[in-house]
Amino acid sequence: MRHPIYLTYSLLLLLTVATAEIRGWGFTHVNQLKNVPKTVRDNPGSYRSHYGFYPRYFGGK
Amino acid sequence: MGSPLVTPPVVKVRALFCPNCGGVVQLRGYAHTLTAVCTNCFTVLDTSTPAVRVLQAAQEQLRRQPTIPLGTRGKFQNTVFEIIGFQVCQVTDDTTIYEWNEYVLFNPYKGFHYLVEYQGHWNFVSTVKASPALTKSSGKPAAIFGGRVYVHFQTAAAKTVFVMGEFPWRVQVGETVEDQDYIAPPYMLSAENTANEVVWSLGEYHTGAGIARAFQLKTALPPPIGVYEDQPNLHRARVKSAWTLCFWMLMALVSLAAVLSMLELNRDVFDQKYSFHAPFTGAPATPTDAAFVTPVFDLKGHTSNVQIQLRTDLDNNWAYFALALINNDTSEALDFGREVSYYHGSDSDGRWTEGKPNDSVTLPSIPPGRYYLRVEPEMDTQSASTSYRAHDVSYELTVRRDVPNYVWYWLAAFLLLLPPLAVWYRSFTFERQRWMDSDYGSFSSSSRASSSGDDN
Repeated sequence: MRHPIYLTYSLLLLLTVATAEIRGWGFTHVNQLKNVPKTVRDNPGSYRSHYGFYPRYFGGK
Repeated sequence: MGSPLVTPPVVKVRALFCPNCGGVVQLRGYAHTLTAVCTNCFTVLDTSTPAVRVLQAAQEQLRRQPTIPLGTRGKFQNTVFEIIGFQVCQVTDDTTIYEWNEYVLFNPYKGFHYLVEYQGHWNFVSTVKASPALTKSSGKPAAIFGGRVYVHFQTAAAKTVFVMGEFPWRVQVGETVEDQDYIAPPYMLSAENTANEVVWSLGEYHTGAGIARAFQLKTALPPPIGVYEDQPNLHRARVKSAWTLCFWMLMALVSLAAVLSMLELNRDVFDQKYSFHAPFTGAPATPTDAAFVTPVFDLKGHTSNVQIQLRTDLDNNWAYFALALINNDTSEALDFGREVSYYHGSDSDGRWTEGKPNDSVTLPSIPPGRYYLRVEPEMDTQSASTSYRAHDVSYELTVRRDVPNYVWYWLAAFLLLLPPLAVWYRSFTFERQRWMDSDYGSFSSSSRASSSGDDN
């Protein structure tokens, strides 16, 4: 075996990819909140979105 | 099985007195020695006749000290040789002077061989009787000898600048020969051209450690500097095997992707169409205006990702969606926002588009459970446009469980390519460094091709 380190590296890489794919790892940033009130279902407006109400402008060319 | 060990017999060393300084000059090469150099005054003596004659007067030169002393014995090719002579040669290339050392090795049964040392690189050299056939290889002159193609490396005028000990030829300081080197690493074929003859010799590369072992030296020889012309490129054989392994690992990666794609659910668990109207108010939207929650849906299976897809009918407009995926049982929420905008038109540059009417986001590692989405769309409420489309959007919200994420496979493929690329680069720079010192100067593809002899 000429490349034992490369072989080990490759197998670990494949194992990591398989784990990432099965467990659904990803790079998307989300804000995790705990203990959201049950009343959200009855009054969705009572929930304060972390991402809402920033001034923004989407304009064309 | 190697040939039986040939050890020089214990002989009485013949000695004579230097006519110049009276010092003792030892002769270990029997009658084969044609020239001896006094180690005291460096007078070159003709020892081919009983009447010792001075060939060259005492040399006014800087004394050079051989790394391996004269008289040292070493074993090459199962034969014991003794160092009986030492010379320093030099080549001047414009402003640079290159010097190398040559040791004369002698065995009474095997005759003379040579050790050539340049900056810690060693070659065990034997003269060859047959003349190699001259040809061309990759546009360069080449020589064929023993079924191997040797590519021309350089031609230079080599000048002898220092001699001591015994030599089987009439050596003199200042003597100049034209030296042509052809290489097929780890071998080198050299032609020494004088006015009367051409002498071919075959060298084989040795490391300093190998030479130290052969001569059983107590101290290590200086480490090699740079890349020598016939130094074998140990990276070259590793390049092919590294790419082979890389190929199989990429195949394994593709197979893994195929298998996992089949095993993944990749299924819609929620799909609903909605519309949103944002009337002109002249002020920013308030937080509670349009927020709503979806019905509860099940995310089954193991912990995996969830993809939220938004397909809108936006046309030269934008919408923002503040979203939260909320676990109905644990009351944990993942809060995120998506901007969707799609504009198009034409101007002096032609048609243009910007953005897309559809968007998706993949949320990582969502445990199984019962979830719902809180959705809060937002559009421009400050624009006074009277167009119906300016404040309205219809959209379809889809939640998809356990979708393939091909980014991992592309990332893994990239990382799998790095090691063989690194091995290839080392081999490439090795060859480039080798050919930088040749007559061909810069490294080229033909140089690479022609240096493939070390695979033989």
